[in-house]
Amino acid sequence: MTRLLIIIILIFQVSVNYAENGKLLATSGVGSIEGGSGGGLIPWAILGGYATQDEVGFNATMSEVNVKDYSLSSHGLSVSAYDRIEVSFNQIRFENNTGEVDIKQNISAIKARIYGDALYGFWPQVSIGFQHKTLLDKAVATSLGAKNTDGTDIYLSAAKVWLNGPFNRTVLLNSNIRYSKANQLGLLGYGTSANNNAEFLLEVAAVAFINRRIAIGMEYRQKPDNINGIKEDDWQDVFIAYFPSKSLSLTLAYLQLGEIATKKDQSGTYFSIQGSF
Amino acid sequence: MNELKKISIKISRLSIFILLIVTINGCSSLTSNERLFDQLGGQAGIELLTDKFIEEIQYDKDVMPYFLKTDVSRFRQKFVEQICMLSNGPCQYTGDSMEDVHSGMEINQRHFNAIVDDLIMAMESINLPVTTQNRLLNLLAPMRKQIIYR
Repeated sequence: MTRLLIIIILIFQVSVNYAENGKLLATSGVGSIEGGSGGGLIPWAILGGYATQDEVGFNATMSEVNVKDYSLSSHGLSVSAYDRIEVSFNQIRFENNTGEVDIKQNISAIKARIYGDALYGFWPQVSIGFQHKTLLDKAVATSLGAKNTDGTDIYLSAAKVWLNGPFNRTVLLNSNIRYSKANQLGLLGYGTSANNNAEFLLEVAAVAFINRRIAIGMEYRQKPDNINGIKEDDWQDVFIAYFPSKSLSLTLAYLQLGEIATKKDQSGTYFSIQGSF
Repeated sequence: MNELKKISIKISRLSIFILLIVTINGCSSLTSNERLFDQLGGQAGIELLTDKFIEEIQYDKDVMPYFLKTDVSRFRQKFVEQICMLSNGPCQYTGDSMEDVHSGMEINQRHFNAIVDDLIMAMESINLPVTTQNRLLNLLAPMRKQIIYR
């Protein structure tokens, strides 16, 4: 909590002088657990922060997930440059409530805008992303039969904003196709010796803005199911995001993560804070 | 067989999503039919909005330099005309084209967005509902390409 406060204070102090905030409020998305801009559980085609094509922006994100038997935290930094590219570094820590599992994972990710402008374009904004993940604690993944403890996901992402959507609300839709063989985000490694093929997975997000500062939305993330006998379910969430200013966003979500490593019905909360400067 | 089932579920989910996008693109029935001109408060409402907008611009150090050479009373008159016409009011815009007005100004994305922020703040200051704001912004947004990098 103290760390959280220090970061908030830091963000406000820095943002006073260096805010590169050319884009419109809330067009940055919020932080995502694997790093970079997104909605929480999935990345979006939108680049983080408010930097336009002549600017560079920085973001710091902290996310905390608490479900029935597990907790997960993700801390990360990202840089967005010239409305073209976003580079992020995150560390995830995944624990179970009994203290037997404590896994750290580093994620280096890059996202590049290929085409379009989600807000002003007729066609969606399309981006391509790579997420390279490395487990620092490999024992659990290896004991469950994972083939690798590091791996790279590739995704193609498309996002479109309708300023005057249904009921005259601003609406955002985002869809990703991910190519991955990660077991539970790679926290349980990549693939198995019996099933080591990557597959195409669908991820979607739908968001509606209640007003200029508050958005509600939902996400769906299809997951692989590689490890025999250890079921992995698709993920879903509903969230509310609050943008008090261009330097801060707060997100609260209810998650439905299904079965994780033999523990069923993993539902719970997600809280995330992102500072942009 | 199992694999096939999985793929077909994936395709059906994707098609629902695509259907959603198509629906939103064509969903004029879900949006207000009331004349935007009236929602903005008619001629008087548009004039009030324009005055607030000019006020916001005056406090905006990012874009103020672009307005130093602008004849404010002409800008006010033409802006009111344009909003009135766009919102289906009884007016005709008599000013120059957006391309001509902004040529040589080299307005970048940052400046454009700053102006949009100023307009949003002006709309907020006169308590226009966000739904009315969205209708107006949606009419102005297509002009972006006629304005920036000219």
